Amino acid sequence: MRGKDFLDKMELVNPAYVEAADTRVKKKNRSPMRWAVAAACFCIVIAAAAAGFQLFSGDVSADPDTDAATMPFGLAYWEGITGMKENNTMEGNNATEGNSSIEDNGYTEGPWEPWTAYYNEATTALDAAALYIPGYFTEELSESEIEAVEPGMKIEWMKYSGYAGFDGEGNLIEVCLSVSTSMPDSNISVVISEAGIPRDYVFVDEPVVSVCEKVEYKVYQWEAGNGNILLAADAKINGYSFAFTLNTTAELLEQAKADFDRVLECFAYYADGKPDLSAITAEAIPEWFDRTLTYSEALKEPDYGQYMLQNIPEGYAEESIRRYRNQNYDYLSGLWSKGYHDISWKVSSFTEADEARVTSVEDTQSYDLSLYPIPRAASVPEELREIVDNPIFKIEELTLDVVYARSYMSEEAGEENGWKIDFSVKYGDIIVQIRTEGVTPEWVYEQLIQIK
Amino acid sequence: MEDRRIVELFLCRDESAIKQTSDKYGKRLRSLAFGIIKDHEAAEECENDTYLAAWNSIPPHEPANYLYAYLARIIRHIALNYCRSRSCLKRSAFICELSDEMEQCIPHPDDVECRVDEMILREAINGFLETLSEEKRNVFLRRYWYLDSIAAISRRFALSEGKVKTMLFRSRNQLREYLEKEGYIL
Repeated sequence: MRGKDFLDKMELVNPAYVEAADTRVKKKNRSPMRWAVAAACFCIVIAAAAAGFQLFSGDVSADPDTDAATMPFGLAYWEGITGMKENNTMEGNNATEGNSSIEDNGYTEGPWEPWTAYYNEATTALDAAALYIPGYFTEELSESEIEAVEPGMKIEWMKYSGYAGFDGEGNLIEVCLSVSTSMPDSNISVVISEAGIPRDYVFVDEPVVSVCEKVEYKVYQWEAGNGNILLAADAKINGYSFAFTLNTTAELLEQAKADFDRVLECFAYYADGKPDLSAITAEAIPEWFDRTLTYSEALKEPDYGQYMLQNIPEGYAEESIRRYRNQNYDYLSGLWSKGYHDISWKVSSFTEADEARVTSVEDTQSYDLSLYPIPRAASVPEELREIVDNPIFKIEELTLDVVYARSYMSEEAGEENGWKIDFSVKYGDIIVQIRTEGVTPEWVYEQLIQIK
Repeated sequence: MEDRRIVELFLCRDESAIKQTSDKYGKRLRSLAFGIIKDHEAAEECENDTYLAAWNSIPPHEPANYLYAYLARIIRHIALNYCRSRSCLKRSAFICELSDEMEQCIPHPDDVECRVDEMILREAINGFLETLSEEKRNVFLRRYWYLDSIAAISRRFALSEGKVKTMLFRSRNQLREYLEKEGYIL
């Protein structure tokens, strides 16, 4: 490798470091007081030495080595496993190799050798960016499909559910299992894919690999902040990439690790030929499209055209008008711009997910921006953040005062002054979401009440 | 707009994602590109190419705090390629100077393509950076990530240019020693 390539590869630096290096630095204080303080300290040191004081004494003890975590592997663990107790020939930690028995349900009882999972400390965990897959859709896994991907060992508290992800042509991209744990409302997600699963971790030390039944696991622990901890593991099993993740808290960490270890052990027991991803096929490929329309085509669009923006203000040029549909989104949108000002107008059907953002005009705390000074990430209470971000008003309640309550003047340096307005309106089962810059609240109000 | 919402706009293929990204990070990204290319128009071109690249991939959404770093990485890559492929002689010379400095960090530089995969190289680079103090790390990254001049780094951290040069020289040596000691053959 040459220096030019290494310079390119510097892009692999931990994003936290990249951000930190871009933070404005306080200028160092070069006050003369600094020197006076330094001189005073020097005098004190000299005086102490002259008085014959012993400043340091005793040995510096070495830090004890930190060994990899070991999981006790006694008989008590096996009591949780279905049918295990009777066949278990283990005594303490001395497993007897080769004493497996295959029950009629196809599960291997084991493992027979004690397994130690070492949790590597990750300083950051970042979902690496993945390629956008046009037409990506998901389907819940059926019972037989879950059976085709279940591992070769099971613990009684492990229950499976999940979905399969496909591309727009129905090709399987990934299987996402959710595995319950012994703790309520706590599930381990397991992603299985033929291709790699992008995940980036940065480690304090060289990561240690933990081996269970010839499966090499890289197991991690990452403190996400606010007492939240992420446990994760990656492995290649029978030619497939596996990524395991469990979100937990500091209080539940010990139990979470115990359950996580058990699940990883179970997945090390895939029988030959499993997981059988060929057993998973798409039942139906949902319609998806992304069409560019002209403005006149948009106005005539049968599903949403009548709710489209009817008048384009002077000076605003059309950037794009699209009719988009996939499994999760279905909308007609338009984008116009004038210099740095934009008008975004999006029409879609009202869904259950939108219910939480519907507000009455009497409930000003849910939408009145004058109540929340910038930065709003700090001033808006957590429980109101979603609704204050993008409230939905019923058209019959909409007034000019409400539109003003959702408007504020842009005062950022380098930007032209203009109103910024952002909210949604409900017309029966239709939602119109608007985001505008540079037009007045009066203009916005007029456009919305014109729609019938 | 919060990063979480911007990423949601990307995910649902809402084109206003680009505008929101530009509003929030455009200046920083242009500034980063300008720092590399020293040409305002070209920096804007790189900025637009960055949004296209982000549109064609899914920005990381967990944690959303690193949306800027994700975009910055893209624009750095684009800006570096711009310098190399166009006839910006002065900037090319500067990039060559930095490349020569980086070569001092490689234990046995040669013309063979990188022998290790990106995951291992990421571990190597970040493992080394972890060993540096915050100030040394920031100086190192301003030089070799943000491609700042010695003078710019000196002003930013209120250090003399001589001290910056010394710090960088020592860090490069430390990186080479680290890679040798850890057995990374690049």
